[in-house]
Amino acid sequence: MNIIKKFSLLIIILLGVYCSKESTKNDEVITIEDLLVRNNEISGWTYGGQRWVANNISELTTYINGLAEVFQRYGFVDAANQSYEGRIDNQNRQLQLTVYRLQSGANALGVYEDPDLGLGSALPWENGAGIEAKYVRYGGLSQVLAFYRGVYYVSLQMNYDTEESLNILKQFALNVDQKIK
Amino acid sequence: MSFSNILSKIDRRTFLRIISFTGATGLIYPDHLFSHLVNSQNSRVVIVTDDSVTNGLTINESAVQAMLDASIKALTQINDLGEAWKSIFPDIDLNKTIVIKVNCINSSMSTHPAVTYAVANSLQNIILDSVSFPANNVIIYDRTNGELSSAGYTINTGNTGIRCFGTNQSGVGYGSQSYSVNGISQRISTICETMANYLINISVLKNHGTSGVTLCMKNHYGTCRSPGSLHGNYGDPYIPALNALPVISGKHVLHICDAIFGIISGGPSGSPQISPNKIIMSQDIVAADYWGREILSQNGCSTINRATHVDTAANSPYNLGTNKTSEMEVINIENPSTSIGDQNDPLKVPDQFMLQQNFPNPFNSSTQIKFYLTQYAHTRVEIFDSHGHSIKTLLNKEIPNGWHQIQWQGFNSTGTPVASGIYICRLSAGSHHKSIIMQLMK
Repeated sequence: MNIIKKFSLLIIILLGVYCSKESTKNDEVITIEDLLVRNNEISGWTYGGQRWVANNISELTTYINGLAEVFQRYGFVDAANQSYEGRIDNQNRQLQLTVYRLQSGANALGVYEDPDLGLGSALPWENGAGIEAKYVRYGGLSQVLAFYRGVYYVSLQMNYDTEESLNILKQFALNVDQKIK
Repeated sequence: MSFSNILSKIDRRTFLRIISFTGATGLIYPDHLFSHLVNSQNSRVVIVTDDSVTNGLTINESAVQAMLDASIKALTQINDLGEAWKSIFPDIDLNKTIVIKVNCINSSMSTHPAVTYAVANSLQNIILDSVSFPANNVIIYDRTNGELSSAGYTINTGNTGIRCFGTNQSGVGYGSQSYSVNGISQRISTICETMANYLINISVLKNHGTSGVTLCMKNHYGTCRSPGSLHGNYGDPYIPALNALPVISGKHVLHICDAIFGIISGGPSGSPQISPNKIIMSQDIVAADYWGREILSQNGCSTINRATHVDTAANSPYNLGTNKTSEMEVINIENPSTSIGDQNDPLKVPDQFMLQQNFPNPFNSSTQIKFYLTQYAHTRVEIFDSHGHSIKTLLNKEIPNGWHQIQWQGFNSTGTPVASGIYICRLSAGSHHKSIIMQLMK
């Protein structure tokens, strides 16, 4: 009996430790970098350059120059950028992913709809990533895809423009969206 | 007044400008638009277009070199490459340093190394005391080594070869002197402030959410320490005020806009969205930016109206150049890279109307003019002298599509040999018009 009590006590302690660890895990603060697509997470697409993280407008201006002023208008919190390289049509292609965190969901929508981001001619991606998503194709040269969900605005750019490259952009977008959820 | 009557009354500069406009647009402008062109002044702008300079996002380096060679010759009106480059650097000697400012803040759309290195290498054609201008006396710079590297430049701080480094390079940095830019304090990179005797500005064609455009005047991240503080009121008048600082304007000798690709929306970030296949070159920074802004506008850029700093720069107290087309001489050059060898390649069939540069050029006794028609068309090939007078019609009839070649032996319509000099060959086929500049040397 004593053994059963001791065993039960041990089980309770182990459960407590497990639950404590789970609790800590759930309470971990998600950083902006956690939302980036990891190296080769999309098969064949690996990190292609140094990551940058901006924690204020000054730092963001350092990385994206005057475009930072759009985000300043909408309560910029932080942003992370990672470039990736993969092959399409037997050539290396580059993809840029930038995740921005704003102060509110309304601000994220504000950025998404701001004309200064130059997505006025974008086509909607129905039932795609985020609350809303859209993309622009620049005649064989490049593509831009953007979406927002919650306090996040996400921008993806590809220096190529085919159906296949657009599908890659969409895979990246869905991956980030899943992490935001 | 008819087109031919006007041609007979205008000077060579204006003629070249008209040729450039019609060549660029493929249109003959209505007569009333010519009247303001007659009083041409002195700000020369060369806009060179080469259809073969891009293939997707790949840049043809030999085409870039041909574009730059043609541009500097046309800009200076000097046919010897070394002498042409030398002429833009007053009092140059072997101890002087030429710095080249590039724009690498957006690694996806930076000043292309192919353009910058083509310029840097061309400077070695300058001969001083029987010696080539030293490559090590040329510095390519931007804000940081990292941005330069990401854009494809090779950092070099050594004693041989073209140097390339950022203002953040150890031992470089920003000078201690503070300059007032319309009331905002700025410190200037020591590369520009103390190392440079001459400054070549090579910008890239991008729109900008705040200042409307990012062209030559706005290419000074890394020249000044706190460019972000100059963005108020769309950068107007801070951008002109920065460029008017004697430490910058006193060293500016040449402005080049790398418009091989461009960004028309969402800039200055992003990947290339258009491929104008152009390079703009001028010694007038306002005129260069004026035409960069025009190209962006023609391609549907939505932020053009914010680029008022280009106009402000033309006015007092800045007076950095002209934004008036009536005070510009625009020379348009098309497809300088195309060689006879390419034309003879039976596998190469152009997908558009094309007029090749004559070969040889300069020429002595005769030269070949080759062109390609995409369809059967009434075609006219006409030679004009430097005063705009039509001196010879080589062809004036309907001909089928395909390659055609005509020889000109340097005679006018009366059979008299013409003098050495510059001549323009103009091809009209249906609604298409193109011109090339030819040089006869006897």
